[in-house]
Amino acid sequence: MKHNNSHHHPDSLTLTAFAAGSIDTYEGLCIATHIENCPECKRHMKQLELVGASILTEAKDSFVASDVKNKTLDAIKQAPQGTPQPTKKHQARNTDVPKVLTKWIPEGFGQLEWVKVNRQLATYDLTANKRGPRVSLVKVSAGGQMPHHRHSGKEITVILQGSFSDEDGIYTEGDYLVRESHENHSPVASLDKDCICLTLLDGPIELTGFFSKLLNPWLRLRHPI
Amino acid sequence: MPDTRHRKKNDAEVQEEQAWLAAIANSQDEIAFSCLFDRYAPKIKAFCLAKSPGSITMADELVQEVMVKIWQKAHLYHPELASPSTWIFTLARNTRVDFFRKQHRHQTDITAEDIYDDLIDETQDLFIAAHQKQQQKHIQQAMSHLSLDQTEVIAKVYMEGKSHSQVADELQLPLGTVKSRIRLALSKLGLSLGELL
Ligand SMILES: [Zn+2]
Repeated sequence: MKHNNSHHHPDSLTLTAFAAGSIDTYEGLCIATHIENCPECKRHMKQLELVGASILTEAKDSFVASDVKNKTLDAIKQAPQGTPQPTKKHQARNTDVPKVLTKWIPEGFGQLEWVKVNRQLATYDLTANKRGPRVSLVKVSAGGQMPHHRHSGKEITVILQGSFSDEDGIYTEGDYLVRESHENHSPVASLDKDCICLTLLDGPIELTGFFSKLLNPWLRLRHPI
Repeated sequence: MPDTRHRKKNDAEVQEEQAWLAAIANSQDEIAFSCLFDRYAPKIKAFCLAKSPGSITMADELVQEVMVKIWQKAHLYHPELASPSTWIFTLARNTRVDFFRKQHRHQTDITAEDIYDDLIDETQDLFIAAHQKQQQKHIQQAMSHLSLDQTEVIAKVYMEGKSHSQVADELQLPLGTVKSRIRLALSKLGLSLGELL
């Protein structure tokens, strides 16, 4: 994902929450993945941080006891300072993985242990958490159909590679898409390239009965029967 | 709630803070650090208390953590790219995000550093950076012209770290009203993206 040709961005309220730090880190990861390659959103986010700086500097002082200062002065004597930090992340070697995601995808998309759902579709979970929002990668082979799905919570998709289209249009690398619950759609990957997306599925996934399992391949995809 | 009676930061203060940060980075200057502590620790504490009122001990811990990070990362501060207050705000924000992330019922291994650090652009265009510094002054001015309603929602999002729906619940307002107040506030600050209000 090198070029910025995205046409779908997080809205300014989402960017505000991101800059303010009032967003959960799952959603934050999706936003950061988009922003990394979107100069427009990056610039906007930096501006929104200026609002935070103004609010911080104009906050009414809260009394800090002298022992807090003394403890801090003791702490800095122990704290290593000024030394370049060890690189916390693997350097992505010639991969198209956004820097933000290299902690989870150090060797590139090809080296991941993808879980095959069917001939056209594979997934890989980035978060181990079984409850709460789930962040995963979804890979659809060129020309492949993503499962026709309905979901119960908010769904965020960031296109990392390739492109796909649905009833509403075509989406390309870098695009950030939000689908609210109960929107029906059936995206198809473009013919020339596999499509890899980062997805976040919000809200608990509930399987209420046989029909919901049958009717909801997307859930089955996450909870193989 | 921002204290609007507080006088605005002037250029001399900004230069003073930059000099302190440089002294910390270049010569581990504890006196400079002490000055920076006196100016920012009460702000950072207010920022932390806003999110979790009453948790004095926790706020003190966060103050200490943020101040130690300032000490450790002072060499990463670039005066050309950001004012000290913006840089310190991002450190305080990240520390607070991580603190509450650990307490969240759905624990995650995604840290604030993971999501914010790669967005620091050291090759950023200096022209844009200069423009942003100018803009910070405009924003400070414009903040005092927001309506009470707008100041309230912006403060809840930034100071208290609340999501839009939490703000709506707390103020017993429809989510749409909260969102439009934030959009109006952003547009008054000259920060709207040209979206429909
Ligand atoms: Zn964007």
